[in-house]
Formats: sequence, structure tokens, C-alpha cells
Amino acid sequence: MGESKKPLRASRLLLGTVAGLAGLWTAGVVLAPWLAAHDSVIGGWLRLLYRPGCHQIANRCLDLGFGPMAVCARCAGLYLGGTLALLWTTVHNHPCRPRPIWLAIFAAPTVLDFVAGQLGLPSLGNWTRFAVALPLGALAGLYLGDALIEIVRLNSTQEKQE
Amino acid sequence: MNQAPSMLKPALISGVAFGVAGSIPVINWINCACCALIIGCGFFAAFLYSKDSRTAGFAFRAGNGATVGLVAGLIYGVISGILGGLISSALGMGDWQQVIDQIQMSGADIDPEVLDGITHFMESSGGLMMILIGLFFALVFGAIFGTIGGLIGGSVFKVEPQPPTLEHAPPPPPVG
Repeated sequence: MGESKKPLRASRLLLGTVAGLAGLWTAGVVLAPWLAAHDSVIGGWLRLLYRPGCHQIANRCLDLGFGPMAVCARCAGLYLGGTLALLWTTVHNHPCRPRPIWLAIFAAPTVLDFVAGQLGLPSLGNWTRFAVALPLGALAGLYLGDALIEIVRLNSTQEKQE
Repeated sequence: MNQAPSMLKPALISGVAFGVAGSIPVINWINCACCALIIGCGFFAAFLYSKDSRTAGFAFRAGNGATVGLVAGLIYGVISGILGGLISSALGMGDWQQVIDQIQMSGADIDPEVLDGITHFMESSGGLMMILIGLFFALVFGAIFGTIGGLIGGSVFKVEPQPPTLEHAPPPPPVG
């Protein structure tokens, strides 16, 4: 009995750790401008941490009242979506693998908006861009959760066989 | 007996293709969307490897996706680090100047003379330091985001192991 619960516990532990790290990463996006607004030097360094993954153009970032976030609205949506999906998978501790067609459906608006932006065509507003990226991030989080659960359970099965 | 398909071929194809794209200015802006180019590199490598696995009749799982994504990400890192560094040093110190600007904007208490010294050292090293720093970060980011892309690809393109074929099945009992 205890033996069969081991992979479940292990997958929940791994998912919880990954979801926690993703949560910290996403929280840092809001924390950076908040710290900077409170005259903390850490805010600036924290913002620099997100630099390699985002252009950080101020007028494309969401502002919750204490300055632009550390990443643009699209990245914020992707991070939050991914984190929420990982948390959901941790709570349910059950693999959820949507059909790949959903990936194409959810990616299309973000890709089109990105291309429109690069071509100088009118693109979405910040909150709309955030909302459009959110399900894409969530889908990526679900696939990531599914992959992690599979790896843990497969390893547990192999250990058991050995 | 079939042999498991090589992981190197899909990793190389994906790593080189995306690495070249990632070192070209303007195209590498795609990385501004959560390192999408690097995640795409791992994802595409997983797709290619899943196709090879399906053809060879082997299972393709998340673990395989993560491994091929990691290798592709590292190849991406080497290609884009070296090529991108060469292009940056040919076109000027744009990236480094942006970093300096951001450090100054952050209000960090760093002596301007120190920053000037670092910039001078970077410029006097003839771009070599820029290439090495670029290579280091490209490898780190390539490994992390390539693996994430590979994991996602491993889940999306999962191939279950085939049941044993009837080739070696015992002959049916004689009728009558």
C-alpha cells in the first residue's frame, strides 16, 4: 500500500517544488517595481534578472500602481498561466495532457500579435495581450506537469522492477 | 532487432537551425517572449526525435524529450553564443551598453569609474570577452529553456511503446 503511494508522493513533491519556484519567479515580476518604488536597490537588480527573457519596454508592461512590471504584459501572462497550471497539477497530482491542437489554437493569437508588433501594425493593448498569453502559458504548464509526473512515475516503476 | 534512433541528429538539426536564427539581429527578438526561440529549439528537437522514434517503433516519452531538448539547447547555446558574439563585436557593444544603462537606471550604488573600467576592458579585449560572456549565458539559458521545450514536446508528441509484433508469436495450433 505504502509502496504504491510512493510515486504519488514523489510526483507531488517534485511538482510542488517546480510550482513553488515558478511562483517565486512570477512574484518577482511584481516585486521588482514594488521594491524600486520603495527605494530598494534590490528592485533594480531583480529587474535585470528578467532582462535576458524580455525586452522590458515600459509602455508594454502592466502597471499595478508602482511602476511598470519587470516583464512585458505577454511574458507576465505566460508566467502566471504556467504557474497556475503547475499549481493545479500539483493539487490534483494527476497528469493532464490536452490535445496538441489546443496548443496551436492558443498560440495563434499571441504569435499573430507578436508578428503584427514586429511589422509595425496595430497590436493588442497590454491587458488584452496579458489575457491572450495566459491560456498559452497555462497549456505549457499543463504539458510540463504531465511530463514531470510521467518521469517520476516511470522512474518509480523501474526502481520497483529492479 | 530495431535500434533506438540517434538523439544527436534531431538535436543537431534543431540546435543549429535555431542557433543561427538566434544569433541574427531582429530574428533573435523572438527570444524576448520568454526565450521562445530556445524553448522552440527544444520543442522542435523533441518533435523530430518523436518522429524518428515512431518510425523505428520505439517509445518516446517526456524523459526522452527533456534529454533531446537539453542537447539541442546546448548546441543552440554554442552556435548562437559564438555567432551572436561575433555579430555583436562586429556591430559594436550594443548589448553591453544596454546592461550598463540598466544598472545605472536601477540606482545600484556602483562606482561609475568601475563601470567605465569594465566597459574599457570589454572594448580592449577585442570582442573576445563579449563572445565568452555571451557563450556562457547562451549555454546556461540554452540548457534550461531547451530542456523545458523538450519536456513540453515530450508531453505533446508522446509515442507509446508498440505491443510485441506477431513475428515471434508461436504458430497457431493445427486445426482438425
